[in-house]
Formats: sequence, C-alpha cells, structure tokens
Amino acid sequence: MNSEKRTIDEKTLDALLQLSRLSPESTNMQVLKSQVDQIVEYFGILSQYDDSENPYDAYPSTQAEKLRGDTVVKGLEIPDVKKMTPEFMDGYFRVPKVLGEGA
Amino acid sequence: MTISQAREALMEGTLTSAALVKKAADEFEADKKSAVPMNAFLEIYDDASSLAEAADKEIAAAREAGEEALEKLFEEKPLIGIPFGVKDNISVKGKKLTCASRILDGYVAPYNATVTARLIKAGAIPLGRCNQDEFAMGSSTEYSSYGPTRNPLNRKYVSGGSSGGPAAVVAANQALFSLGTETGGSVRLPASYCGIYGLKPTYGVLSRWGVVAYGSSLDQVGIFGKTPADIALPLSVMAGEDFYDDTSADLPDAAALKSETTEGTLAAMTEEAFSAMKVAIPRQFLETKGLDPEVGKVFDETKQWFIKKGATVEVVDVPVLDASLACYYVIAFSEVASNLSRFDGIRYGSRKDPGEGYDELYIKTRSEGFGPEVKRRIIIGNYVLSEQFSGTCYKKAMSVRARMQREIQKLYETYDLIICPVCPTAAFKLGQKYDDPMAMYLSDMFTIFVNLARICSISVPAGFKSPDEDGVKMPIGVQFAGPMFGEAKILSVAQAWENDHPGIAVGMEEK
Repeated sequence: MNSEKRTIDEKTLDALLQLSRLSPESTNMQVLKSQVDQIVEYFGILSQYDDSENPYDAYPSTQAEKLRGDTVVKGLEIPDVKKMTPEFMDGYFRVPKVLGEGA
Repeated sequence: MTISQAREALMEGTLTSAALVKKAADEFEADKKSAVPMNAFLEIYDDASSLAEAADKEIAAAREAGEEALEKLFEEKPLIGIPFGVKDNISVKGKKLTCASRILDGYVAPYNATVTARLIKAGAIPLGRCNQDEFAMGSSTEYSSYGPTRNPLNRKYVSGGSSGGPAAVVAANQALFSLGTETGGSVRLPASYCGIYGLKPTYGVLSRWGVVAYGSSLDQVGIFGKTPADIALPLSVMAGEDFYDDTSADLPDAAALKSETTEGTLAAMTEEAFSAMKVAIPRQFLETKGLDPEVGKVFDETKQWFIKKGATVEVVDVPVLDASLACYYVIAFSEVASNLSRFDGIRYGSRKDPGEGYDELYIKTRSEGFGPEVKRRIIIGNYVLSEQFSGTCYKKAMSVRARMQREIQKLYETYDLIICPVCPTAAFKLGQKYDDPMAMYLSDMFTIFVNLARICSISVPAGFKSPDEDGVKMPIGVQFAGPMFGEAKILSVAQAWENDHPGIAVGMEEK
C-alpha cells in the first residue's frame, strides 16, 4: 500500500459487491463510493510506518494462544437447532434446489 | 441501588427479586408508551418474573433454615436474585438474538453463552435483551434495526455505542448491571456518554462462546455498573478459561475480587500504593484536534487527583498511536467481511429466496438483511483483504498492530497505568454523525489502542459538561488502562476514585 490518493472505480466497486454477496440496487452507489473512497484514503496513514523491521506476526505472545486438544463433546440438541431457522426439514437445513425443475 | 445494597436487602428480606424484575418490566412498558422512548431494552424476558420468584423462595427457605444456611446460599450464589441486561449479541438459551439486524429476524439462541451460563449459575436472573448498533458496528446505537437508544439523561442525545442499550438500562436504573461487548470501545464509550462505569477486560478473560463474532482478534465481553464493585463481582464469577473458547484464559485475581465484593466492598488502592504508582499519559491523545475543552478540563482534574494521591504522572510519547484508528479499522473490517459471510440465509434467521439458485438467495438475503453500516464495512473489508485491489494493506495494518502491542507492553515495564479521556467529546445529538462514517469512527480514537494491545481498561464517570439548552449536564468519562490481566489493579484505582467521589455515577441518586 502506498500513500498516494486511492479511489475505487466502478468496476472495482462492482467486484467488491459481488465478493460481498450484496446487490448494487440495495444501496446508493454514489454515496457508497464516496464514503468508501474517504475511508480507504484515511488508511494511507499506515504507509508512514516502515514495516521492514516489524513483521506482522511479531506481537507479544499471550496466555490466550494455546489450543486445546481435539476432544469430542456432545453437540446441540436437534429441537434447539431447529429454532435457529424457519427452514428446517427432516433433521436438515433446507437449501435451494440445484438440480431438476425450478433449479 | 447497587448490587451490594440489593444483596444486603435480599438477605435481610426487605427486598425481593420479583420486585426488582417488576420495577424493570413496569419501566420498560412505560418507556414504550412515552413520546420519546429511550428504547434501551428490546424485550423483558417472559420468564424473568418466575425465575425471580424461584430465587425469592430459595432465599426464604435458606433464611428459614438459619443464618448459616443463608450465608452459604449467598456464598455459593453471590448474585442470587440479581437481574441483569444482556446485549442482543450474547446468547441466552431459548431467547431471541438478532444483533439488532433484520438478517437474524426469527433466530433463537440454541444454547447459553458461557458468560450467561456462569452468571445464571451464580444466581443472577437474565432480565432482558438490550439494543445495540447492528452487529456491534457503530459508536452511537443509531445503526440498529430497532431504532436508536436515546441517552437516559437527555433523549436528544445518543447513548453511545455499540452497547448503548446495556449502558442506558444501568444508568436509568432498569438493571443493576448489564453485559455489553467491545471490539473498539463499545463498552467504555457508552459508559462515558451515560455516566456510569464500564469495563473492557483483557482479551481472553471472558469467554466468547455464544457471543456473535464481529472482529475475532479484538472482541471481548464487557460489564456496566454504577460502582467498580458492581463490575468486580460479575467479573469474578464469569472470568476464566472455558473449554469452548480457546482464546480464554484465567484471571489470577478472580477469587480475591469475589471475596472482597461479597464480604463488603472492593478494596481501594492504598495511599502507599498510590505513592509508588507511575501513570502515563500518551502525548498523542493530548494533541488531538477536536478535543472538547470541557473534556480536556475534566481530564486535567482527573490527572490532578492522581498527583494529589501521590502518584507520579508523566506525559509519554507513543508515535505509533497516531496510526491506531486506521490500523484498527483495516483489521476489524477484514474480520467483519470474513465473520459475516456465514449469514447467507441458509443456517440462521431470515431467508429471502427468489427461487433462482444459491447466489441469488445469498445476495437477496444479505442485501435486504444488512443495514448500510454493516454493508459498508463488509465491502471495505473485502477491499483490504484483496491484494489485487488494495495491495498489502492488511499485512501493513497487522505489522503496525504488532508494533503497537510491543510498545504498549514495554510502556507497562515502567508505568502502572495509562490514563486518557474515553472520547474527544461528550455524547452528541441524534443524527449528528449518522451519515458521516468517518466522523463516527473518530469517536473511537482514544479507545481502540486498548483493544489492539489486548489490555484492560475501565471507563470512569469523571465529570460533566456545562448545562445544555435544556439545563442538562452531559457526563464525561476518563479511562484507566492497565496491563494484560491487570483488572484487579484498575478496579482498585477506580474504587479509590469512587471513595473520593461517592455516588458520581448517573443513577446513583435513586437509591
């Protein structure tokens, strides 16, 4: 990343919306573009910090980093899981059809 | 009323848990009907009354059995009968959880978050679900699909965010304490705006199992209360390693905090300890443009209090702090883009299916389910994660963060505490920053270094602004930040502050 002013063109914004699984119609693209430009430009301050002597993973270790063993424990009860979504059938989350009529 | 006052009254039999729940429920109903609702609780749980009645029966039975049995009950369940508010992103089994988002409409939590489970085990009563910024993204609780939570002191103002609901219910005496979450200041900021105490513990001290993820390398559960002791007791029963959260860790002083708060009050830092204390003030925060002079004045008075107590106070230079806001937002937005990809309409909450296939379902569900701030952050997160578009933006931010962590850790080798204002201004008016995301983000400029460095910090009610046009004095907070696992130290300093400024928190006038 360099410190020069960076703006996002429409093609990039379209690609970002696709990556984000969001539709262009759901937002005011002009307003969004200017806000994204302004925020991304602000990130330019990071370029003032030379990271050649500061690897991204050179942070102090903490107690919260050790991983537990691979232990199998009891999962959730099916009646509780069913409450998470209205689309639950025969013990599974219902998904759209990908084959056959209506796919 | 404080938790210790309520505990004493419950033990004596001069108060019932059912009465505490009824008072909250009555105020919630009255607020809903008011011309300008505070909108802090989204719901009072339908079983809160029956749980409170069960707690009252348990207390009555122990009282009947004798003093020893009563003391044993309150030792085993130090929060028995005490109702608490829960932010809408923390799971309470069988209750709605929406993160104040349309996309989670209809979602019911299938299990208790560990923090909820540990509070219930300690006898506390989940009272109700509190409003927040959608998915905890915001600094004012205006980005909620339920509408904003207004400040209890003057409803023209925001309550702060993203945990505005949990902060407001405590300041308005609708709950004795509450749980919020922090990623970049979302507990300390509303605590400051509402005039109460708010603790952001060290990363890992409170388990995040059952808490909806926003920025996983930063997220932490926090606690609101009207005194430091009201924070210390819930902290002591919730803290500690959890099998279900690998990032969790034990708090060395949890047992001491529990015994102090259950036996009387939290121990304040002694005069002797103050005289040996070294306090650092980062120069970068003093030179901030846009620092309200009244906030500066209150902070200066707090600094003078430390000096009067015998502490050595020094201004220190930490240049990397100038990059903290940019560093935070790059990392947080990247984690947002990743964490929120799970909300696709298949497994959780709302689904909008146009019947055209997977992608169309995902896009329609997410486009209609997420609000504008969440969309903005996901889009920018995908931008900074993409080397094709942004280059090495994410790695650069991680590098700056690592440097900041090292420099803050080094600072604590010389100093015991870092103090600074919680935010550059007191609470602002509703709508003032709603359409200006950069202005909103700048509210967090003093809080986020704590999250990046994974240390602990408490927002302390330190003073008030001059009366506004309605004659209301809006509160101003100052934060005391300690090293990792330094909760006992910052709480003891906060208790010393409380002893010298008794009842300074908003809501303390109502006993």
